[in-house]
Amino acid sequence: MSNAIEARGVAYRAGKNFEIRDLDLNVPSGSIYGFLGPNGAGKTTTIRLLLGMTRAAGGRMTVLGHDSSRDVARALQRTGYVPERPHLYAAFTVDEAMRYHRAFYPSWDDAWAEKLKRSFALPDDRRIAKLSKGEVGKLMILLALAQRPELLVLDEPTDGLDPMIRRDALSAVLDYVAEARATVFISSHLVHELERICDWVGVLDHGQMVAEMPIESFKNGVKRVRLQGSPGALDDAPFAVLSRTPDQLTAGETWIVRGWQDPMRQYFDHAGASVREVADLDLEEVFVELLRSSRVAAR
Amino acid sequence: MFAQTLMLNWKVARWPLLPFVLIAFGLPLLALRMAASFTDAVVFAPGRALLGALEIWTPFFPFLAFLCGAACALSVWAWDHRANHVYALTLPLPRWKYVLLKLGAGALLVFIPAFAVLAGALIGSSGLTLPDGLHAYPVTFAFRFLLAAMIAYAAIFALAAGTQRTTTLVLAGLVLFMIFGEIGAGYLNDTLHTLLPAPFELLEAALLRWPGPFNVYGGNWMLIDV
Repeated sequence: MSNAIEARGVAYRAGKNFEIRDLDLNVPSGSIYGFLGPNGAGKTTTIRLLLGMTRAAGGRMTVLGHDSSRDVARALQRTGYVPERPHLYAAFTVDEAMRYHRAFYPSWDDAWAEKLKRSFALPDDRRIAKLSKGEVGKLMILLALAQRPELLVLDEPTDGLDPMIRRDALSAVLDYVAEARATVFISSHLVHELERICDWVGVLDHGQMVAEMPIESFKNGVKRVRLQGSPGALDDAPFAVLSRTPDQLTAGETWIVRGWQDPMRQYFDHAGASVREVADLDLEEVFVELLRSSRVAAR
Repeated sequence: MFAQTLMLNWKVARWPLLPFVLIAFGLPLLALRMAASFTDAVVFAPGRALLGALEIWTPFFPFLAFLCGAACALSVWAWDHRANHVYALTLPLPRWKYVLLKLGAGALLVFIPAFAVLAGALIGSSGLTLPDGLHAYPVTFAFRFLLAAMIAYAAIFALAAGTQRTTTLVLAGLVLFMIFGEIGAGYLNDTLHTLLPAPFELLEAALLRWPGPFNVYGGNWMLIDV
């Protein structure tokens, strides 16, 4: 499978407090890739680097096969982008914004744009400055979709929107993806939202990629294991231990592990403990544990 | 693309430009009316009196042209700056092409105050009985106004196209060059008895004297002349 987005060893620095170090990213073509990370992790900066808005200090990035630093205009021709904050010209009405956007995209689909406008209930002649936050969000998604892109880059597209609007917007994106087989790169810190729609996940923290894998591996491979007893050394563990906390009530421990398979219970028998319970974690818990373990490792 | 960029520029620049357009229309009318009323009572050499009365208004026109050009340039970049240029940077065309589109579409707006000057000058001069030997030059005058406004537009557009940081650096560099150049040239001239031109003089010569780009701002802006 080819990658719609690829990044190798990307480096970027802004001031003394923020940097992206040696970032690798692989977004498979046709996938819905959730780009997770806490606020300030560098998600928006990574997107700005990918789309050529900011210059990287090192590394190589390609978007739809085009180099982000040299040939970004051709990549942008085939990419729909919804930024984190409204970027449209406030003086335009909805119709004027659509006409302006259409002028730059030969693949613009008038009929579909009109259909989306009706389904989003956007008023034709109201100025963007007078639209609600939700309406602006929907208009940005409309513009990105109506240009019929092969790649959709959505930077926290539903942040701050009410659940109804969020559902409408995501439904429109999913309908489009199902029909056009486009790739979606969606950044968010709303983990539950991505859990429902993504098939790949990348987790970014402090400008570094913590994990990147198919969502099934992400969810199923990470478990909460409750133990009776307290095992000693961990040198030969057949899984990765993300966290380990003592359990005061049972005089045992709770472990969060990655790469768990059921036969691995035997490991604890040899280590002087026994498994009381193995539980699945939801995506948010996995996300939190991944971040916690990566921060502990970085110390 | 150009039509849509023109539409965008029109939407963002029309209100900031409106007061300047009204002044551009009214100023030649006012200047001619005031000059005519002043010279009505003059019997001896009314032509010279009219020219003298009009000369009072000379500095206002280049100043207004500069303001019109600056208002256009700043307006067309205003929203891009407010949204950190995100929309512009994600449009699928090279940056130079976007800037060229914006420059061209904005330049067309500069014609509006120039047409207002032309209209004001034509109306004002048509209702005036000129003394022998004097002629009105409304078209040439408006063309000069247009050139001056275009020069201001181009210069401010170039400055405003950069980030706030770039603009500050350019302006700060210019100010520092003037201050330290002035001090340095003065010191060298005093100690080595040389005749180095001061930076201000160099800059003035390069920009304001022919063929400097701002030369159009100098001289007499006479709507009526011999």
